[in-house]
Amino acid sequence: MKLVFHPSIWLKLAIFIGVLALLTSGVLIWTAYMFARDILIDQIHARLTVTTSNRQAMLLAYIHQQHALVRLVASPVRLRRLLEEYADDKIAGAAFRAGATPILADAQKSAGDFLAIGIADLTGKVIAATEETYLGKDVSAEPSFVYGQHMAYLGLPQLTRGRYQAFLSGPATGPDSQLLGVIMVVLDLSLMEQLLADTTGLGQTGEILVGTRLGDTVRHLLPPRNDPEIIEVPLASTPAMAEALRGHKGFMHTTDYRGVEVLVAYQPVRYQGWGISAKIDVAEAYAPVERLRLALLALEAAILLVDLVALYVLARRFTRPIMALAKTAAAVAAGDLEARVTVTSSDEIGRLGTTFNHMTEELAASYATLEHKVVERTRELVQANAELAKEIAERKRAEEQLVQAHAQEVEIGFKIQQMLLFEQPPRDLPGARVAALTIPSQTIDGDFCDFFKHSDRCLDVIVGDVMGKGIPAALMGAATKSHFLQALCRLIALSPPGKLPEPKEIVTLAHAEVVRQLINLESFVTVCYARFDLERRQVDLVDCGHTTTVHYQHSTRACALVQGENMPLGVSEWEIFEQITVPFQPGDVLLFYSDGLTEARNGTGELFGVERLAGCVQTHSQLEPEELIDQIRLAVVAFSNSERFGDDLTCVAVKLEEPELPHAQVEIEIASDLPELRRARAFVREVCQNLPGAPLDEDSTSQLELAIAEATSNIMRHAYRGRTDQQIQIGAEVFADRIVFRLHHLGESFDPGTVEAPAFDGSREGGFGVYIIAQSVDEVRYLRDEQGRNCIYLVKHRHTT
Amino acid sequence: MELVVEKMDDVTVVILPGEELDASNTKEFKSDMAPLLQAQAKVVFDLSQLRFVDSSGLGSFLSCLRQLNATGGDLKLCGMSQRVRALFELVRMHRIFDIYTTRDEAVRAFQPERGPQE
Repeated sequence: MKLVFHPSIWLKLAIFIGVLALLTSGVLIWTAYMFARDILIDQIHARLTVTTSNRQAMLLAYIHQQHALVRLVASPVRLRRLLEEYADDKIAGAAFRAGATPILADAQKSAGDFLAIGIADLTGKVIAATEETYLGKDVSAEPSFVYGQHMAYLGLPQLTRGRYQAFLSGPATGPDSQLLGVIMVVLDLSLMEQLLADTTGLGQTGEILVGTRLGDTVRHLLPPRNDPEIIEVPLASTPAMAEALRGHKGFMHTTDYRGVEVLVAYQPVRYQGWGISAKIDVAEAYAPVERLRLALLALEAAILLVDLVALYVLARRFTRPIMALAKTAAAVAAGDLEARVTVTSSDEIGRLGTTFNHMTEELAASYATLEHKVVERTRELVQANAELAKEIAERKRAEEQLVQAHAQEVEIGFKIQQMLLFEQPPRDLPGARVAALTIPSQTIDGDFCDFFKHSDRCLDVIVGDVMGKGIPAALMGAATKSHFLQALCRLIALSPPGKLPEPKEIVTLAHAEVVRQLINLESFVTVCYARFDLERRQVDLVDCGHTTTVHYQHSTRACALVQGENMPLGVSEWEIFEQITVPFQPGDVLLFYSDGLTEARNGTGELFGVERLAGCVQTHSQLEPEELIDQIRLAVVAFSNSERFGDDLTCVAVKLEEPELPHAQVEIEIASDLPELRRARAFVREVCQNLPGAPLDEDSTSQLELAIAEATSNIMRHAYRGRTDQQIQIGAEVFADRIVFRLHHLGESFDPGTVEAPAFDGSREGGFGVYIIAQSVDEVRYLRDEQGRNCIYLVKHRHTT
Repeated sequence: MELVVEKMDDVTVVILPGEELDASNTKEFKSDMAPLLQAQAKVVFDLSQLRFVDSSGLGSFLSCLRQLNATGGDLKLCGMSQRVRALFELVRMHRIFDIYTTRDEAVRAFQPERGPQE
């Protein structure tokens, strides 16, 4: 989550005022602090300097006093006479001692700080002393003795038995100022200690030090107050004392022998090169300023707090009406145009509130107008939308209808094609096998074909193609086809018995019937009318602008292309149709087709073409016509790489064979009445027993009898639905290797595929018939014969033994 | 159709007249048999005169068998010619019907408890 920070006015003000107050008071406090510090330092400077010079003076006075005292010891005449006599060997040591000791004891009594007084002779040997222990002692190495021969001299303090003592010495001289001996005094330094220990006005860490230089070190004459153990320190570690020992006077902020920061005043003592310093720790010296600074900071914080509180109160007073205004503005934004601000003051904010209220009123007024307009506009839009939706729905419906109509058209076209345009070729023509194939396209065109079997020896094949597509073309095809049938019927009726009208006559008559319509419709029909005369082995052909007929000639193993010169039907009313005659031999194949076949295209737009087709026929000429046609279909599919074609694809193949004539042919006709079954069975038995050659064996005969009885009773009961006034023709043809029975009827056709398998468990009484037929003969076919009758075709093989 | 009916003990033997039983006469046969099937439980059909039977005839035998079975009776067949037998075998009906060569065998088959040793 992202935290969004909205600084309010009062916070902004608080920051501003806070920074301002901090800066101001900070500068003030800093200035005051610096000022106070300077004053303080000046004070401390003065105090330390005063203390230093004061002590120096007192110390010097003390020393001079002691000097005077030691000189006083040496001054009595008696002592000096005794010393003269001792020096001239006039008296012995013991006598000297006896004379001098009382004098020294007197002197000790009068000077309270003299712990002991002794006299050393010029060799440094103590010859008289107030204390027995000093007698005979050699003090010639003592600095006091060395310097004391010439002047009064105070030696360095030594700690002896818990007290600081020092040798005080001075010369004892004769009347001619000749040196007679040295007075050696052991001085108690308590007074000097007190003098230096008095740190009045220097605080807890204040300290007065007196030092002398011993090589590179400073020797404190008396132990420092803050750390009494430190007697000798390096010169460099105590810069102030070093300065004093160099004879300088001054004040500095530095570190002392402990390494602690100190403020120190220093000066020389002006005795033996000693220096004196008075110092105080910086921490203590500055403590008052630090306290002042803390006090000032606290004060500043307090001021800031008061500032902020005051500011908050003030800001609240200013922002409350602004907040109220914002809240009201939000309400207005949310749509409450009645919201108003309460104006409580007449200042700028008050005026803002008044202006806002005015604005809101104006807004409410204009909003009302706008709303009215929006309502009006919305109503218009809704109306327009409704009209649009209606229009869209109508259009959609129209489109749907169109699609439906198209689908319907395709379906109708397909039905027309299957029902009206195409006929199944005859299959039982001895000497010729005919196969037809049609693959309808999405757009129906008017391909059609028809077969008229005049006899077993004569077959007419018509293949046609109407220009154009769709239902009109399909209907035109159907019409043309029926005109051919009509023309044929009329001409047959006019012809003498046994003589068939010529194809060109049929075409001419059919053309006369359709030419006007075709011209009116601006359409035309290409047709190839071919009559196969199996007896004379020739085909009479009227080609009216149709595709070239492919003729495979078995004798040459090559294809010839047959083409007539007539115009298509519907081009010219006065067309005279010419007929050409093409002879054929068994093994020849004639292939008729629509241009949908040769005009199939591959991916590069190339046409399948008649040469490719002829090649295909030639390659597969040995096949049965059904298989040949299937090979052609596969070739076209492979060529165009598609199962669907732009045009209908129609193809009729006629393969001519050496006709096989039956040895015998008989036919009876029976009524569709169940008692006639006995006649049918008797006919079968008669045929089987009177075969040319040997009669059929009993089992086969019984099976044929059973099959024909079942088939016949099926026709009577189911195809004719029990009507007894219909006819059934039963024909039999006997060949060398088989007997063929045909049962022709005009009843309903029968699809054996719809029959249930028989129940061999006896659970159903019927349903055995079809099974029995199929089991009793070698081949059974349900087909439509050349006369349009339904036919049950049964074959039983003869087993010649 | 004139059915010849003979009674042997409690077994009714029906001798089918005519040479054929096919679609032309099964209806008549079935209606003639109807009262007999209702009255009798043990029935034998003697088919020795029959030369031709088709699927309708077969169906009428099945119908008779089922009627008798429904009332606890039974039907047995005898005297079947080679051709008729071939049809029965074609549609496996020889497994459904009890078929005997002679009329006596068929009748005796209704009295199994007496046994052949008597």
